[in-house]
Amino acid sequence: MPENEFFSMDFSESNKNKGDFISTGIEKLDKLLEGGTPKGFTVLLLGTPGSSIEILSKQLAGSSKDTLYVTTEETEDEVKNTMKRFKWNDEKLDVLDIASRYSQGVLSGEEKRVSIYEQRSKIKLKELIEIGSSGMPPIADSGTDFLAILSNKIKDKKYEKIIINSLDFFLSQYSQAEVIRTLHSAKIANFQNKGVFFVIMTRGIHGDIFERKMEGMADCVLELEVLQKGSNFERFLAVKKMKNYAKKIGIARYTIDSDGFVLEMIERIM
Amino acid sequence: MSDSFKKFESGDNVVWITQPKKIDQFIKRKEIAFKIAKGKIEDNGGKIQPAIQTAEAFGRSLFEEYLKGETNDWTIQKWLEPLVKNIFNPMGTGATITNITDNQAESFVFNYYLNSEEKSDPYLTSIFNYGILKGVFLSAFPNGELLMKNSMAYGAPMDKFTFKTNKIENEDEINKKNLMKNNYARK
Repeated sequence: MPENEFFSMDFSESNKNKGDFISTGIEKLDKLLEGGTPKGFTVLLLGTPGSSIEILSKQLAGSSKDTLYVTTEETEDEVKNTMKRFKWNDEKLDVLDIASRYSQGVLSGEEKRVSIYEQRSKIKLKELIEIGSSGMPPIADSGTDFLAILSNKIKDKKYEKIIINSLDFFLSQYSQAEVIRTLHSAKIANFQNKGVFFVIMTRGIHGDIFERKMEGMADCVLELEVLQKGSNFERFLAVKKMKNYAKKIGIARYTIDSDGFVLEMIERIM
Repeated sequence: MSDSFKKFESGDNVVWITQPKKIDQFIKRKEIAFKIAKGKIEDNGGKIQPAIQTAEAFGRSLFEEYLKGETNDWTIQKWLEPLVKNIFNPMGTGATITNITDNQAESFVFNYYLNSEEKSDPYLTSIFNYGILKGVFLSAFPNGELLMKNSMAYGAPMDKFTFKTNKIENEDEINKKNLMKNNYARK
């Protein structure tokens, strides 16, 4: 179907039940999903470095009335600064800043961040690693149970959107079984609250079996793919699974401009 | 110890050495994880933590697949055997292991098969190896500690690791002193 024809389509069928969906905040993604994400859904967002999945996660957060954003790699300030740069609304954002809490543990209260590229010329690797090994205590000694914090926070309040960016952190600190248990619990809480629960995970490091488990647990699976063609990169967003909505499977090429994600060409697979 | 190791003795000293093989499937998998770790640094403005976490998560996934079913009663020896047989050897990881007790071991680890990206970034390769080992080790010993006390990272990374099944508080204090000594704010 030509792109223009697709975007001019009237989604009257889905509009009838508009209240059953929550907008992603990206108009064309909503159209690809024929109205948005069904309430109560758990959405697995798979990506690789370079796919700009961290931008998508903030764009999803910026369009919501009430979002819990769990950040494990960026601090709250970094998240909000990026959202301001894109002019996305961060006023209704409740940020659970795991990155800062973990970082405080890593550096035993020191706020200075370690950047290998910045520090490479100034310190020896030995020193860097000594900081790493002393500063990253195992869970039992750190006194902070990040999974418990996550679980309690999700059950604490009803959110329209819950976004975990990313699950990779929890999978670096806990067994896969523990992480899955917490996610199941969060999934049930989200289903009862009729919100949308987005879980971001990097493909390629957690093993095929675990990735399939996660895809099985999710109601919807979106994957960002980056393909190199000569000296250019082409980015695609694929809707790989949509529980009870077979028609919604599709793929779209995307770029990122000053407004965030822009979906360009959409192709329906089913 | 099994056939996965070679044993060398010199007086009272015993050294166990791995028998690395080149199994493409394993090496490819590690390459992908390394690229992701490197990409995480780039995506996060040079922060190293996400790269170490990526390696730790990769290490934990290896534990789930290749070690988890071996026993529920881990000791260092019980952990080393399947580690070397199921992960180190197929992944082309060379290691010498010494001073093995139930609670502790020391090891020099180096990679026989490095791709061009790993060769071009030996610092990151060392840190990546640290993360993988930390993930595999802490999966079996949640109260344990992995120390990386020495490193030669020029051309072919080779890192010295000490595995301890229980963290010792005094050493924690020593580490904290090291941390203060390396206060970046003063540099």
